[in-house]
Amino acid sequence: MEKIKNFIKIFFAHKIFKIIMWVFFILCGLFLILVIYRFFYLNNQEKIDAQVIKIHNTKLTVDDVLGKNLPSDPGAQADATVQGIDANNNGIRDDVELAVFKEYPDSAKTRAVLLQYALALQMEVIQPMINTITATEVVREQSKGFQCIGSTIINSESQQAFEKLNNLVDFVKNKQFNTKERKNSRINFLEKVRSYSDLESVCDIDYSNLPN
Amino acid sequence: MKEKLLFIFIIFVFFSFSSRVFAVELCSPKGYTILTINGVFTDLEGAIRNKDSLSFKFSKPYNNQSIKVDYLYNPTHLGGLGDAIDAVQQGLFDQKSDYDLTEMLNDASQKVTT
Repeated sequence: MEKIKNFIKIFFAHKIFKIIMWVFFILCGLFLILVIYRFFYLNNQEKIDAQVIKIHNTKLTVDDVLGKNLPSDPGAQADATVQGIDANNNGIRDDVELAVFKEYPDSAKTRAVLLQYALALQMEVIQPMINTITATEVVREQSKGFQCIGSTIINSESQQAFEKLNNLVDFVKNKQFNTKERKNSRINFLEKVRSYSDLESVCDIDYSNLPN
Repeated sequence: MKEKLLFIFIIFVFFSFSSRVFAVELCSPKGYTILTINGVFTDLEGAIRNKDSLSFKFSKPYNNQSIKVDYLYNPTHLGGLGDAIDAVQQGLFDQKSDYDLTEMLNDASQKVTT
């Protein structure tokens, strides 16, 4: 026991102990900095997670498809900003929504799938925070919208079906990205998209229950 | 003396924590996965459209199993010039390592479940 005590006494009296002590204090300091950094990182991560949940919880409603709360024509104001006007607050830009209703007044099924796609496209310009995570999740919703349009077209292997799908998708995209600013915004947004897989569900609403 | 022993104990505790991460990835034997990758000069709009179009084309099951189409991000460097240099290095000088490929394989390992 006495030998151990002597060893410890000699060890602490030695210069090497001071070096170890300083290394320890430096490591403690670095650890503290890391803890502070992680605190802000996790705080930010919580905000991102909440936003991702919001992205995937934003759904089209049957009322939107049936036009129960159809907005008035925004006129020249429609293209004044990249976000445009969404007076009825359903997440779909008013001029795009009205264009879909004008083009397909007699087909609620077609309106349902096109409005879902328009809703997903509009998401990219109304996000409070855009980073690789949120941009990728928005694009997953857009791919879901694309597949939802595709689900209404029979015989998917045929060229005719593929052309029909492209016509429907391009109809919405051309309305949505109708100005130079909106096209540039789209390019900037897509630069943040990373690898992704499709979402499990395809359509927000069951269009088989719609009247036409 | 007690403080010194306590100090040694703190140092011991401080450095003794270790963590082991076990990643148990269960892959389903059912279903198929197609991975799409953007090419050097393909813009992201086109790459995503390709992926979505393939999903549409393969929307019907094959061998009574579903087909999933995923997208892997392949970054373009220096407007495609960096990728062209990479391609030359790989073709002429037998370049062994490719950071982007490693990243894509890492992404694939997380996304692919079949």
